[in-house]
Amino acid sequence: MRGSLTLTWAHRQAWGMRYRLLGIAAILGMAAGIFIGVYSCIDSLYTTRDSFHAQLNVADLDVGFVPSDEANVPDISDIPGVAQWSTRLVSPGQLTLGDGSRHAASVITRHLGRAGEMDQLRILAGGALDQTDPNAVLIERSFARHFGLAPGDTLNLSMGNARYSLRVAGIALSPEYLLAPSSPNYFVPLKGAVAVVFAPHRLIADRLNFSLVNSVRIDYADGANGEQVMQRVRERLSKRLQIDAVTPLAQQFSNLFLKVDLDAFAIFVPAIIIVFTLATIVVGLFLIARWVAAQRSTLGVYMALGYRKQRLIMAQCYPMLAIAAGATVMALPVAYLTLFDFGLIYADALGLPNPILHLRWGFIAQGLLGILLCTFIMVAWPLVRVLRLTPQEAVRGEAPAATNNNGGGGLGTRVLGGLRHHITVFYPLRSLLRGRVVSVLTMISIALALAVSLSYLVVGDSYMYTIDQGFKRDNWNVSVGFMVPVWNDELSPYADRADIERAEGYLRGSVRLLGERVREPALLTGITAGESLRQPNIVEGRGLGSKDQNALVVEYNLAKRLKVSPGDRVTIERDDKQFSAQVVGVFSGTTPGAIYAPIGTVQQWLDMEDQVTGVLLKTSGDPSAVAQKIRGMKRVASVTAKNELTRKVLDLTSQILSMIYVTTAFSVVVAVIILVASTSFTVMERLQEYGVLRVLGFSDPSVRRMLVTEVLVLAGAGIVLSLPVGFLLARFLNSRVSEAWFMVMMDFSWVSFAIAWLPALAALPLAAIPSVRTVLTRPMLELLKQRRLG
Amino acid sequence: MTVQEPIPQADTATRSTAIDIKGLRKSYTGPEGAQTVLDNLDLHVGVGEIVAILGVSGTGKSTLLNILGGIDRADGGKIQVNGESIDSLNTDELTHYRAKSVGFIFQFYNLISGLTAFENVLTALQAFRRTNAKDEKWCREVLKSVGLAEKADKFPGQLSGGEQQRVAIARALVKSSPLVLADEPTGNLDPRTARRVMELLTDQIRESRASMVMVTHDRNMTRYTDRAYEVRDGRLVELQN
Repeated sequence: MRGSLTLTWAHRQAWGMRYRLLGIAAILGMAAGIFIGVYSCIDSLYTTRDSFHAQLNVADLDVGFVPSDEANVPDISDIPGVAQWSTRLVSPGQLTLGDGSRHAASVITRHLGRAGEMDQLRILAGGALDQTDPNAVLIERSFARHFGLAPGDTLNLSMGNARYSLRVAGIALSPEYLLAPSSPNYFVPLKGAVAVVFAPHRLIADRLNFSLVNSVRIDYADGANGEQVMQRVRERLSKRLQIDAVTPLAQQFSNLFLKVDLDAFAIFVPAIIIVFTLATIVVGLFLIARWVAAQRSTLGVYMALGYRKQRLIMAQCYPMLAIAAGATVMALPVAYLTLFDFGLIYADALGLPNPILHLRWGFIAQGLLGILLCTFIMVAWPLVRVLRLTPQEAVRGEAPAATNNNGGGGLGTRVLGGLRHHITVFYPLRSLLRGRVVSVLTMISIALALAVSLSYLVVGDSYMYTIDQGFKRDNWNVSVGFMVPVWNDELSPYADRADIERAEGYLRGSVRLLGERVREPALLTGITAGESLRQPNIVEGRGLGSKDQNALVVEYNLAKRLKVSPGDRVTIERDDKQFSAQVVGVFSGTTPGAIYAPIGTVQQWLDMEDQVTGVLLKTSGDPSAVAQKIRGMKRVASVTAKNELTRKVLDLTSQILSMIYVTTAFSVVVAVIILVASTSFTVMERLQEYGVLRVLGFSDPSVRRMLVTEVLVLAGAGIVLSLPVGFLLARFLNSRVSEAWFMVMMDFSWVSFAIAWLPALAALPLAAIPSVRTVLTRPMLELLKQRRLG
Repeated sequence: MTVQEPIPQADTATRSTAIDIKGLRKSYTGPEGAQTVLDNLDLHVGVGEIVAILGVSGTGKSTLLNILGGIDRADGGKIQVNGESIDSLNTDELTHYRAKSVGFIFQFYNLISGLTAFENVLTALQAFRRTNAKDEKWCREVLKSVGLAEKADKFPGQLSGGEQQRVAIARALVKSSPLVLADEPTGNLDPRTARRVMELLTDQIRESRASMVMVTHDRNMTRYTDRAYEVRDGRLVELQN
């Protein structure tokens, strides 16, 4: 009976403050919802990728080689672990759409009916490929969507000297849905940058009168040892083919990019979750403390009547469960909203197919556990404070001796003594010192809330700065990729033009790099050493010098994996040959696993003396105009104008920045909520004192000044504190991003500080409004009757 | 002590007038409808006079004090304090009236716990003007006069109940206001301390030539006052020793 009475009382009390409880539940639910939604989304994106791979049975291994007659490809069916295999030709080309616009294309021709179940294409519109109609092709969905292509549209394809008139038979989804970026230097997926065209093998074979291929796709048998199969396949194929790259699925672009990008993104999530949770606990603590304090005398009566404290605590579980239940109800829709909002925006920004988005039970369980934990902390602390009182203290509203404050102690007396005659400043400052735990907690909470947005903005600045510096460091402004390697002396049509100031060929190929007991695949590019148009961002050691031979610079994360640093020697593996080289520098770049060496050395390593696979150009005229002219030239596979690339990268980044701005607005709102909750709490504690001040004849403007001063001091301190905290957080996030992807150089502008601070400066003083209203609109007699809170 | 019929105000009008209340009415609306607390109440207090108001709980004695102090408003009637009609003052004027013309003493002291005894006293002056070093000196003198010179820099939490009430008395006296209103000033003190506090309070009031209206439920306290009234049915009935 006693238990049910306390429960009835707790229920009535909870109902009386249902809107405040609802507020707490809403904030807590949002925090948990974002946590569940974001992490479920990241997991869903990975699952989507794996699901596509499984459903469309993407090949486990890709072996690229210098184009060859299919007849030269050795049979690998008998290698243990090879379940099935097929050949294909992946060839660069140029696609001219109906509106006359030209686009880089990657044409993939395949044998129909021979690929079996491997690398299936899912037809999204139109029909499938038809061996009897080689000019009817499939267009990969991302490009088709970007340019509005539909079945029945006509296209013109240029591959070398050959011209093909094509018809779009259908739009297809490929398991290799993220295809290589157009730029040779930047590891960024750019929507619409490359048109992927799937065509029957006959499209080219009929013209050449033989079957040209440059890629073997292999599907492993269940339980096969991938490393062993890869080794044997390499050995077998290298006997008759010049192997270019052997790439397991995990290293393929669609896998790798998603991993590094989501890993980098995931770094930012904990910061916002932690701050959100902290804000929730702070706000909740203040509100629950007020509530418990209001019930203090009732609790005292129960204690005096002999109710055990455990029973009273159990009764308080009722509102705790109410908060938890409300937060759970709120969390799930927020989680769904976050899941779909983030998932679809991310997929759209990168050109991914529609992801299969589901909330994960594991994250739901963690989120709900977090709700319970936060609620427990919120309720337990103020309740324990009250239950530590004697029944008499609780009933009479006296604070226990241990909590009697003395105006901030000696510090408060000494520091503020000089301000005694300015009561509107002196009293609020002294009050803040009296409740210094709450004050410090409030300042730190505000600082953290603002620091998150500040750090995100600084990271955004740093990211943009790093990309910008990367572009600026490089002196090329047009990059040309050839369909097939060309001789140095064949570069004159591209280099010896009136609108070209300087041209440098580059040679690219895949190798393996051996460090200390570690072997890693690497993308090797030979460039002009010394004053080159391509200048990697050296972060350790030095760049390539004009006299360097057998020297290389290694991408930062690759160097870390290999445990090599400037001065170390490494081994380059290409086919069955090995070369020794010295690492002279480590650079930071967006392409994972990239290495640079002098072009002469690379030509020697790749056994491609005097050949290049592309050329970097420095133009004297408009780079876009030059790029457009070169696009129509013989052998050209891709042309990238740096200014166009910059624009596309900025477009991509602007979507990220828009998320940062939302975070900024959100963190300001959180800061205001913290400040309102904190000042409401502290002012409620001192309502009687404000009542006394009003009775003593302090005017409304004087009292208002006191309250505003208190808020401004807390807000100001929080804002100032957010600078070092935000800076440190930004450094931490940058270092984590650098580890996960590429080395981000710290940079920040005062504009970012203004973006983070101005809304805070404008909004935070508003936090005084509820307190001012409470103090000035309540009758003085009512204020005088208020007891100090526990 | 016997209870008499309400006395005519003219009997006390021989002194200069500090408080002159005529036909004061006040009612509150509660769950059971409107309840009249003060009904056509009259009161006259001369300058330098100390008057006690007695009555059981809920009779309206504190309401009368609150109206006199300008922290509550009457529903009707005329209230003059030192020649000023406070019933016609607006909110700002009432604030100024409280700041300059009235000193308050409460049952629970109502000191500001974050300010020292000295600062609590100084605060009373800061309500209507900027204070200076001269004021500081004056505040310390007032604290000395109530026997707290040594404890001026102590916080309320470090003082006994009697000491806190003495700080409250100093706060009420420091601005030399012509009227002091005391609401159960000894209600929270033990009898011995209560006696000392009352002696101190009345001595100080008489020395400063201020008037005081004190609400109390302790009839023993009337021996420190010039006159005593009891609130009955919304009106004042004078008590005689």
